[in-house]
Amino acid sequence: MEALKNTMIAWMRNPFFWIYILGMIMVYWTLEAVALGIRYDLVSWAHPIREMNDHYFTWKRGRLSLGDLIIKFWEVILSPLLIYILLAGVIFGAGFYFFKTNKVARKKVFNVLKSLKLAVVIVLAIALLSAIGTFIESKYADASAAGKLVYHSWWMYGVLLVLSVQLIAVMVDRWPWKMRHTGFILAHLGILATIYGSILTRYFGIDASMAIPIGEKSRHLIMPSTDIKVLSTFDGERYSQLYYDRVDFYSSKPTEKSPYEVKFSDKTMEVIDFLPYAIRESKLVESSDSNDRAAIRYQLESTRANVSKWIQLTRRMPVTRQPFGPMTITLTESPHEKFSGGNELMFFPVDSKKLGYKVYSDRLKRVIKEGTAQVGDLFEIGFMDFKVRVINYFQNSMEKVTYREMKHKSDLTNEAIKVRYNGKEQWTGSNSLLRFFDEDRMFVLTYGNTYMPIDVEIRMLDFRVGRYQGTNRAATYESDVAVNYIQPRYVEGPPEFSNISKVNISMNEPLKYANFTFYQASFQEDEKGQPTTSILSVNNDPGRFLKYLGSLLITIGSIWLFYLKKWGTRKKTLTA
Amino acid sequence: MKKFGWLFLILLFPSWSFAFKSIGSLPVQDLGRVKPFESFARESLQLLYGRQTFKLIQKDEAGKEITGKRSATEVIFTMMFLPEVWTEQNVLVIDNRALKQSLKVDPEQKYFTFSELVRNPRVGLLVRELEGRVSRKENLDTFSKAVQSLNNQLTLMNAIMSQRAIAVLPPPSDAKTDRWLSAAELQGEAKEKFSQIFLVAAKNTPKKRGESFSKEGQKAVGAAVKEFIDYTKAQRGESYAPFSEIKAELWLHNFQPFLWAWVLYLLSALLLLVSWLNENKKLYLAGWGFALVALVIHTIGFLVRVYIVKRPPVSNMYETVVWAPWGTVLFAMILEYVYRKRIVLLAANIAAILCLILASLAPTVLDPSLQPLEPVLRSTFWLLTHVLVIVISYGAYFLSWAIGNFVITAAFIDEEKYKTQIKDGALAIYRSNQIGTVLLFAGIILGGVWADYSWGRFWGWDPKETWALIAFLGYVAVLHARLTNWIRDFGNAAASVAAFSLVVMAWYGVNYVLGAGLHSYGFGAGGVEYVASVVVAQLLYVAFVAKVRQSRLQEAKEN
Repeated sequence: MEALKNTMIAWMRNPFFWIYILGMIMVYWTLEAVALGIRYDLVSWAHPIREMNDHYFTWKRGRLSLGDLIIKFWEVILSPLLIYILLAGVIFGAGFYFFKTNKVARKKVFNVLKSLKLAVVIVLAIALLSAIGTFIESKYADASAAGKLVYHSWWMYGVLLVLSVQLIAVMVDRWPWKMRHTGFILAHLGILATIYGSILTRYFGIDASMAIPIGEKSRHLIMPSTDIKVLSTFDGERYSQLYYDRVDFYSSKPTEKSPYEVKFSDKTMEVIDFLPYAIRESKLVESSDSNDRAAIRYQLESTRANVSKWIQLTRRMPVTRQPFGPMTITLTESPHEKFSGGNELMFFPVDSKKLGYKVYSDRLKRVIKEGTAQVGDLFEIGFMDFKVRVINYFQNSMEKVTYREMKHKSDLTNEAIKVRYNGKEQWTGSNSLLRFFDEDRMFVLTYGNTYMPIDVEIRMLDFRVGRYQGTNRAATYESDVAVNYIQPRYVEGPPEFSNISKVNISMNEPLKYANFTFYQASFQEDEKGQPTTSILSVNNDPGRFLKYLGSLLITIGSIWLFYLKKWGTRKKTLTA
Repeated sequence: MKKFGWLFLILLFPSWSFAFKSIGSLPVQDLGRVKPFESFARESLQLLYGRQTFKLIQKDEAGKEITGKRSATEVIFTMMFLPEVWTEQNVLVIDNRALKQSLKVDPEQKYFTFSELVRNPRVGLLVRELEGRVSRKENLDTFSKAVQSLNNQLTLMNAIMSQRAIAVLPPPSDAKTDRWLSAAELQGEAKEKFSQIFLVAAKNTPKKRGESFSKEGQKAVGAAVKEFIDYTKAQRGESYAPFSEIKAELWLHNFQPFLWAWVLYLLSALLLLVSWLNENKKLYLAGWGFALVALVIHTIGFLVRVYIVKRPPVSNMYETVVWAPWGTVLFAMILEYVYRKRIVLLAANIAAILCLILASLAPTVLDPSLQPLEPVLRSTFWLLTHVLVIVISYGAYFLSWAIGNFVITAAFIDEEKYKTQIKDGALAIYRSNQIGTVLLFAGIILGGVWADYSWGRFWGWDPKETWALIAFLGYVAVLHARLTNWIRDFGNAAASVAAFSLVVMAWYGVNYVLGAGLHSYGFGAGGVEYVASVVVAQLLYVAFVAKVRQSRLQEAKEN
């Protein structure tokens, strides 16, 4: 018994035992993180998303073959890992060889590395870089810009790498460790564990969001990364995906000279410009394509009102009606279009200059006026005291979309890309669609946030905003959700997680379910201030444990270092 | 109210503020909580006039200018019933010169009347332009912010004069909304009882100058207020408003605990300074006594705020500026008790006085009103642990900053003579830096744990947390530099004083200069140029003393 106790104490006193334990924890969480990455790649493959967020269309995705799968794994997981291992091997191998053969140099480099002066310099460098990051965030009002330019830049990684090497060097320098070193060792191991945990979070963690309209369901995450897709369709209903790539235009901006090329079948589309913060502006212009349909801008004048509005036809819509108080204003392709019932002013194109109109009275149940008009003409319509003027008229019109660059991000700005195809250049914003027409089919190009399907389906049953008394100021948000687990097809046996028919997610009270944590993040509301969509933030952090452990070690270590140092030294003198 | 038009005469008379004491206790609903009328009045007058008491300038019959002070309650209450009097008073403050030039008014003039601003055609144009900017979500510059605040002033004054701003009656229990009815919406008996308050006050107003409001008059007004409250209680239940909290809030307005606290800290500082110079034991103990009493009052002030809003008092800049020196004094007392160096408590007193004066000096920058919390902060446990710990660590750094300034000044005057003081000071600096660093680290980690728990993100490089980290790293560098003997006693003091500018950036700068990130609930504006110049002056002072000291050492070496 005594022997066992002594062995135990010996183990506890042996720093290597603790470093071994810490190392095992690191390995465990690394494997866990990699397994998670593989799992969600498999889920994406087995259960692709069939619906886009706006339910606009569905498409059929080609089946992935085993070969594709292997290539995917190689791209996503194996090749980066191998590159890192190779790189680390080359650097450390070269260093090892160099120092093995050159003892003076070894000593010199080691002396620099273990010096406290270097520590102070590194600490100040991290502080300086972080400070620059906060100013960048403030300038662009964009946290991700600061992340890409500073916090996740090679500068920052380089400094952290030097810090890690330095931390190891100073610990090696104290060897053999004494009791009085405990605080020092704990604090420094803590920093290493925290840095390692952050690396796991960065490479394997999921930090995404889910926007679910009230009453609807969703099973895909909106990731912070962006991708570009091209789909094609012959009939407008079934789509097939021709091109997919993960892109980061913010970090590598496509330009006229070095465009980003989207190649599929025998076609090439080019992304030739990118704006990180842009506001969409659209106007209708004359089109040379005779397939495009008409548009007019009219002005309605009376003693009580004076408004001007655009009214446009598209390929999908040969008739457009605009309700306007006691009457409807209609633009139609065909002059024989039926009236809708009430008072109606109907416009129809005659030729490239002339526009026909008819006025239908509800009271008299007949057409009370008809004629033709040109741009600039003002005519009475015989209904109340309304006068109408045609301000613009295009027999073939199209919407010309431009994006105005802004200096910083705001709620109104969006990312925008300029795409060139067949010599035609067009702008499109992120998370919207760009259509190109070929002889027999339509291509749709989308640029936007990556959608990642997961094995959890959330139905938004209800969403409530609690407000402070007598104001519109939000006090609390909460969502009631039903959770449905979708067992991935490749997993046999009963479902791993059971469904939940109703659970509440509110601020500061998240839901933990199937590897993920769902947090109430925010909500969207309509013009009347009624909430329409609840936004959850969804998260899985394989580095969490190590970061917590590291923080704990730093705290214990520094308290020990500052206040219990005497205790440690006394103990040492006692044992000595 | 036309027939009481003669009441504009009240403006000629000495204040009848005391008649309004009882009106001040009337519960009103405003900005998401129920508060006494006095709080509403003070906050409103602050916005309109820039101060919480109104200085009335009038000409008497002989054309002589006479001035008098009017309480916020009096101003706002009479504004409700006698709008035509107040539209002609210089009650709206405009500070921005560019705005005054754009309005084509005298840029030297500070206060303006409601009617002259409403008549000014430029106001409408500027407000429309501002609305455009707001709808385009542009960042507002100083000028636009000035226009915005002018617009707020006009809107608020209009709402007060039309009695819409003052919500006095809770809705019936079956109503869909919890919005209280404003004085303008009152009907029947409620309207009658509410107007009665004013009528009684008006009836009892002295008709001659120099006469004061009679005791009976005061009582009658009090009775009218009580009648309205009793009526409301009968209609809407006994506890329609938190009456004891309202009492506490009125106590806060009348007693001004933080004012008393800094006065006592000042006394303590003076006593300690004398005792430090001539080593008088009795004065030293007296200094301790005053500091303790001040700390008790400081604490009570806090607890009352906590009692009123039922949350830890650290949700905006004002509250942290009041809380941090509490920590400074507390840590100083601990260190002083252990080391008995006198200078520690003295320095802490000075830091506390600075903070508390600052807090009472600039209510537009540091808003002392009690506001409801943003949704994300509504977690008392986390708010308590994370924010209290972080801000109190700033308190510890504040202590090392204050002692540091003593030390470098002593070194500047005569390093040989004050050798022991410098050594003592440097030790205390080291200790308070240690306290600050451990607490700041714990606070940052607790913030990470909270963020992880509530948002799933342990660390998000949010500017506030990043600057807290930068401040932490700065002090870690100082502690390490001391360990390497890179810096010694003087260097430690100088570095601690310099490192405090990082704390200022984390504490004030992120909210007022950067204005970005998720910690947006504490954002504000104003004072940037003052704070920046103080920081620059401080750094220059440190650099200057260091330079002087270096050349002295050089000389000594050469000799």
